[in-house]
Amino acid sequence: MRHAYALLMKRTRSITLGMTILVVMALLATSCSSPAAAPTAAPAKPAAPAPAAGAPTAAAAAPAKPAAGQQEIKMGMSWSLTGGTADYGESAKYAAELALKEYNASGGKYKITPVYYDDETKPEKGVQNFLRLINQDKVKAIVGPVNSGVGLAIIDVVRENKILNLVNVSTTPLVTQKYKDDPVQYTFRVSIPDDHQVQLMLDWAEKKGFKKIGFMHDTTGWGTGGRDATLAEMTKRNIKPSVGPLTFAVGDLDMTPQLQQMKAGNVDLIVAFALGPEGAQILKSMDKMNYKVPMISTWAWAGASFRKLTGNDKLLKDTCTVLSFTADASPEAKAFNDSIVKEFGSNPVAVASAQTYDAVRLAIKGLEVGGLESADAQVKALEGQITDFKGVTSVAAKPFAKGNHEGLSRQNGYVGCYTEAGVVVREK
Amino acid sequence: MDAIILQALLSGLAMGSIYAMIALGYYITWVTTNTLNFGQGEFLMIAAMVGLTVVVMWGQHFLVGLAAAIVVLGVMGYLLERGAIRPVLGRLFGIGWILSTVGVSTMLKNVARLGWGSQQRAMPPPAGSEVIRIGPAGVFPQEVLVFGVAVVCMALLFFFLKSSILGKALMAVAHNSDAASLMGINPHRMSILAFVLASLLAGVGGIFYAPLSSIDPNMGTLLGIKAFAAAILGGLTNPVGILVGGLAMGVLELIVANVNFDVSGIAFRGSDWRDIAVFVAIVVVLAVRPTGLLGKQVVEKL
Repeated sequence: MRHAYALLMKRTRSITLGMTILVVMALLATSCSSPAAAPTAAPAKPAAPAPAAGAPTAAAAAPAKPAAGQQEIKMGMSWSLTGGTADYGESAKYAAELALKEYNASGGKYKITPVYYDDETKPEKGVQNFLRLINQDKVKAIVGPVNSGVGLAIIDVVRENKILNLVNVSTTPLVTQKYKDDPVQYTFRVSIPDDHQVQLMLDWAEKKGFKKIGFMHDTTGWGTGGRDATLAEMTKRNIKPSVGPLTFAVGDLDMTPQLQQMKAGNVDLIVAFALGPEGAQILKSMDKMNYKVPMISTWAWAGASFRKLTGNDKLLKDTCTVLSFTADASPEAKAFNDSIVKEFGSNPVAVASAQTYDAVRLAIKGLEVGGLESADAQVKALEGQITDFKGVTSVAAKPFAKGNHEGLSRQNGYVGCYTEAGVVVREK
Repeated sequence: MDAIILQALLSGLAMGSIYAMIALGYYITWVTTNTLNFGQGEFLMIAAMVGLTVVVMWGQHFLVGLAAAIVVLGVMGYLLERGAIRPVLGRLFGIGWILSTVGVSTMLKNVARLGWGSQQRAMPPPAGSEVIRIGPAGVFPQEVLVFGVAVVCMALLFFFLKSSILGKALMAVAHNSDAASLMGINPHRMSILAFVLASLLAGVGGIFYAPLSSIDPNMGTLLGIKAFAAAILGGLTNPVGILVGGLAMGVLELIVANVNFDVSGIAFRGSDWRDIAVFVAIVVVLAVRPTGLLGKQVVEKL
């Protein structure tokens, strides 16, 4: 009996070994495959595989030999390629690849190799990535992050290490506000910060005559930062939420408990800090309860996923969002969006791609004009010497100044509302 | 007030059904092999991804997607048993399977990310999205479907285990695997059967759950954990207990979320405490009845 058992174990062991080897090989094959040249327009095909955490990949651009005199440098890109804000990260990656491809082909001062790390929408991973980019990869500048929870975590890393940082998406105000009184601040941003988005939302609410506002937010760093920004702005206007702040978690399916409260409080508008999936669940829960009240959120609801996940365009009526970039805003915007879709097959969150494109190009300008020796010089360059920048977002020709590191502000945003056809129409 | 309770009940039963489906998978393998698949939530996620590919990307009918999910998950269950359970049985103080199944869950999340991307996607519900109104409350047809499927699966499993020869063989191995092998039952084959059944449950659960939520590689993790808690709550030795445990947890979550009161100006909002309350309830139940609500009272002789 024991002998048979031993034989069986031996056989099982070799099968296991064989299968383990097969599986490991398959994993290696998928994770280490060279990033595909732009996939053909099969819409279902995912983009160039996101690197397994810790494996940097070269840009999709064919690495041409640097022209004589061109210096080879690296630029860090750290944002969420997986996790809750992964679709923003995906669009951002396309834009970064496009921007660098164009720059490297144009024969500028440097030849820039990007180093992409995924922060998995986790603050501690974002910190790890930034430190690794600075200390190990020795990048000259970092673009990112996307998620606001991560944005809060990396502020101190950037400050202590004195590295030029262009924030492409993260909207939490503290990113540029926390150390705004520093003599030199290394963080710049090309994204409308949440406090400005709140102002846009509350201005619109006032114009529409909404008196009883209910407020709910998710429990992430972004959501709680949004709550602080909203309550602060409401206090300034001498109002407070009639119901809330109520919370919900990312991934919650049923929002009927929170909505019951809103209903009991007779609110006429709900302001929500919710990402696309949770926004969709709020709308679906409203449908279940046969309860309908106008809602508005930040540009989290401007992306295509919000509409798709809601699944029923009729539910989108009276749902509004802050917008800053739409593909039809200008000929440059349309051309840019078209080139992303042509090269990569899709653009899940167009505004994230536009902001990243401008952020990367501004980082390059900072390095070109300010030089590689001192980050202080790069900061000065961005603050004072960039005066003719042409962005695909509505960023100004002189985007920054001393004391103002926000490339986009409330002037660049507006409110749009969904129609029953699922299209967002700009509010007058 | 009854509108609120009714809504909480209806919504909770739907969510609870998913916990129950996953937990039934834990039950079947626990009872036969004293192991379970900590990647059960990820198995559900893969089923959802398969459904996404077949139904949304290839435009097939939902039933084709269901069949595909069943086949894929069945194969995965077999591979899991042979690759991650059998080789480590008895190793590492008897808990090697915990590590290997957790490893499998991480692997699957990465495979899903590489294969399908990390965007959140939607699958249209096969039964449509017209809300079914029950008095002042409402429920989606898909939620009713999920509940029905969970009950049917539990009933089928129950009858399979109690009445069919194969099911009785499975229970025999659970009771005493040496005696069972003396009777001519192959415990290894039964182990494979148990894991295939558990994976099929995850597959069916995943395909029916997918239209309710957004589909992404991380969707299974919290579900797997909560389902495990539901299994403990109901008692890991009784399929009816598992169903009750899962449903109870789903409803409890929603009821707690609706509790709101003020204590001298400090507002207590149930929705903030939703997840905590569930796990606190489990601790309380286990303190009073350590084998779960409907588990067999076992006296361990040391």
